[in-house]
Amino acid sequence: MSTYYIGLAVTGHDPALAIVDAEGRLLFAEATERYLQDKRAWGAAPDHFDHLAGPLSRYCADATRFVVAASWARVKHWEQSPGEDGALSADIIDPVNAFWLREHQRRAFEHFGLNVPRIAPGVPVERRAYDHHLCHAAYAAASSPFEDAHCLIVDGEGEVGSVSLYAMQERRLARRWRSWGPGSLGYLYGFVTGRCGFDWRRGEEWKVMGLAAFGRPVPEAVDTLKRLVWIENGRPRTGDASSWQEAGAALAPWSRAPSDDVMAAADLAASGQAAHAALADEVVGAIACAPGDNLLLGGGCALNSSYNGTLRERYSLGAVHVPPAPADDGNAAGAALLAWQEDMGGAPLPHCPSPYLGSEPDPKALAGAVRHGGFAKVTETAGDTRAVAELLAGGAVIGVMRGRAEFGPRALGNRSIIADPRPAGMKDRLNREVKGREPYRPFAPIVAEAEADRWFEGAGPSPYMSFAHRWRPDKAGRVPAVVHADGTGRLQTVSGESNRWLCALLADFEQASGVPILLNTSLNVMGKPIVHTVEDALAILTTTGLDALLVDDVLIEKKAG
Amino acid sequence: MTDAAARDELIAYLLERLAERIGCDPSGIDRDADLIELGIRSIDAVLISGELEDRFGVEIEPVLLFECRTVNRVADSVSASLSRR
Repeated sequence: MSTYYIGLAVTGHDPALAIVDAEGRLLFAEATERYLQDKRAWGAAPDHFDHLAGPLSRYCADATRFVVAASWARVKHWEQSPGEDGALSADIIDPVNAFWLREHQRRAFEHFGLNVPRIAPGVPVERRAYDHHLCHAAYAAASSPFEDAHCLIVDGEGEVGSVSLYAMQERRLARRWRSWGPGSLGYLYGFVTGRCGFDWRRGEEWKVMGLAAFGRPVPEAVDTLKRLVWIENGRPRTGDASSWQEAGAALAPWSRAPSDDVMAAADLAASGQAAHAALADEVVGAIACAPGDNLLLGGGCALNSSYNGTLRERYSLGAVHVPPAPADDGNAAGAALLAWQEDMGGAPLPHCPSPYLGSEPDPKALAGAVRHGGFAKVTETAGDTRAVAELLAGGAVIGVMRGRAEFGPRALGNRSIIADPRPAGMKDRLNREVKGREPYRPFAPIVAEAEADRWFEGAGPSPYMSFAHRWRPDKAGRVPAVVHADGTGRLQTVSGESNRWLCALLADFEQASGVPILLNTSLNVMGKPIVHTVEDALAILTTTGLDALLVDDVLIEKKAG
Repeated sequence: MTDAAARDELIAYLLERLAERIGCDPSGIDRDADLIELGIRSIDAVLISGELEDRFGVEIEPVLLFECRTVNRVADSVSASLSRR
C-alpha cells in the first residue's frame, strides 16, 4: 500500500515532472525538455507518456494510489467583462503573444495527469492543483537547510501577480502578502531581452545578464525602465500598454535588431540589469529582514545570479538559498511536495538538497558505443579521477555524463563539459569549437566549498551555481577562462556530501595544474537542452571539438593520445 | 469588531477605492450597481482585489469582483471570509 505524489509543471513552457513518495522523499525530478531534446518544450505535456512511464515503473512499482499535483491553481485566463482579456499580462504583452502564452497554460492545466491512468491502469488517481508561487516556495524551502526563513518569490506572473512573500517557520510556509496586477520584474527583464535583440521564448534572458558585463548602464535607459515598472511597498506596478510602447520607443537608441552585432546591445543589457537590481532591492527592502535572517529566493528572477550574489553582504543576511530549479520546471517538485504535505496534515517540508534527481545513462547504450563506436581509446576508470585530471591539465575538453542528471538549468558536474580554466584562449575555444555560441558568453568555475573564500570575495556555499561573486584580484589572473568581463564568476561550490567524484577530481587537478578550480559548462550545444541519452552525448563528442567523453566510469577518447 | 461593523468598514473602503478608479465621489456609487457598468475594467478589479487582501488580511479569489458584480455582494462575500477566520 503506497501513495506516490506526481508533481507536474503546467505553465505551458518548461514542463517537468517530479515524484515524491509517502515518506516525503523526492525520488525523481526532470524537465520534459531533456527527454524531448526540445529547448523549453513549449506545449509539451509534463506527463509525456514515455518520459513518465520509465520513472513510474522504476520508483512506484508498489503504488496503490497516485496524487497528481499541478503547479497552478487554475487557468490564467478567466472570463471578465466582455472584450477584455482576464490574463494579467494582457495589458502589457502584444495580443499574439498574450494569446499564445495563455493558451499554452490553459492546455497544460486542463489536461494535466491525463496519461497517468493509462500508464498505471487500475491505480486510483486524484488530481489537485496548487498556487503557482506556493509551488516555487515549497521547492525553495525543501531544498534549503533552514528551519526558518523569509521566502521571496519573484517571477513573470502567478495567479494574481508576480511577487509573493512567505514566512517559513519550522519548515512550514505561510503567505505574508502577494502583489496583484501586471507589474512584474520578470516581464520587465523579458522586455529588455527583446529590445536587446534576443528571444524570451528561448529563455535568452541569460544572454542579457552575460552581456551586461560588457556595457555601462545608461542613466536615461535605466530611468525609462524604472518608470515603466515601479515598486509600491514591495509590490511591482506598471502602466498600460501605451506606456510599454512609449518605453520601447525611448529605448530605441540603445536597442539592437537580432541581425546586429551583439555588442550593440551591451549598454542596454547593463541598463536592464541595473534597473532590475534597483527594483529588486525595493522588493527585498519591503521584507524588513533583520541582520542574520535567512532568505529563500524562488521564481524565474532567482536565476539572476549577478544580483543574487550581492544580497547576503548588503543586507547582512545569515544565508541566501536558491533552489537548483527556481523557475517553472522546479514547480513540479514544489507541487508534489505540497500534495505530500497536505496528506501529512501540514507536516514540516522534508529536506531535499540533492540536485541529482534525473535519469541515468543507459548502460546498454554505453556498451554499444564501446563495442561499435570505433573510438581511438576506451578506458574503464573505476571512479579514479587521476587520468581525467591529467587529460584536463594537458588541455583536453571533456564531456562528463555520470550518474543522475541535475534538476534545473545548471549542469553541476553530472552533465557537464569540463576544462582547464588557466589558458586564456580556453573560453574562445569552447565557445567556437564545442558550444557554437557567441564569443562573449562566460563560463563558470567549480571550486571546493572550503576553498571558495580564498578565491572569491564574500562567497558562501553555492552548490547550484546561484551566485556570482568577484574574484580576488590576486587570483583572477590564474584562471582567466572563468573570469567574466566584470571580474566575477558564477561559482559552483562542491563538498564531499554533494559530489564526491567532483571533489576528488578537483584535488587531482590541483596536483596536476596547481589550481583547485575547473571550468564547468553544460553538456549541450547552443539552442539545445542538456543531453539526456548516451546517444545525445556521443553526438556532441563526434560533431564538436570535444576531446573525450566520460560516461559513468568509462572514458571515451577520440585520439589515442 | 462585529460582523456588521466589519461589513460597513469594507463597504466604505470598497467605495473609496472604486471612486478613485472611476473618478467620482464615493457617495455617488450605487452599491447594487453592476461594477462593469460603473466603468470598472479588469485591471481595476485586479488592483482593488489586491488592496482588499492587504487591508483586511483575507485571501481574495481572483474572480471575486467579477462573480459578485456589486459592492454589496463583494462585501457579503469578503465579510463571510472574515468571520470564518
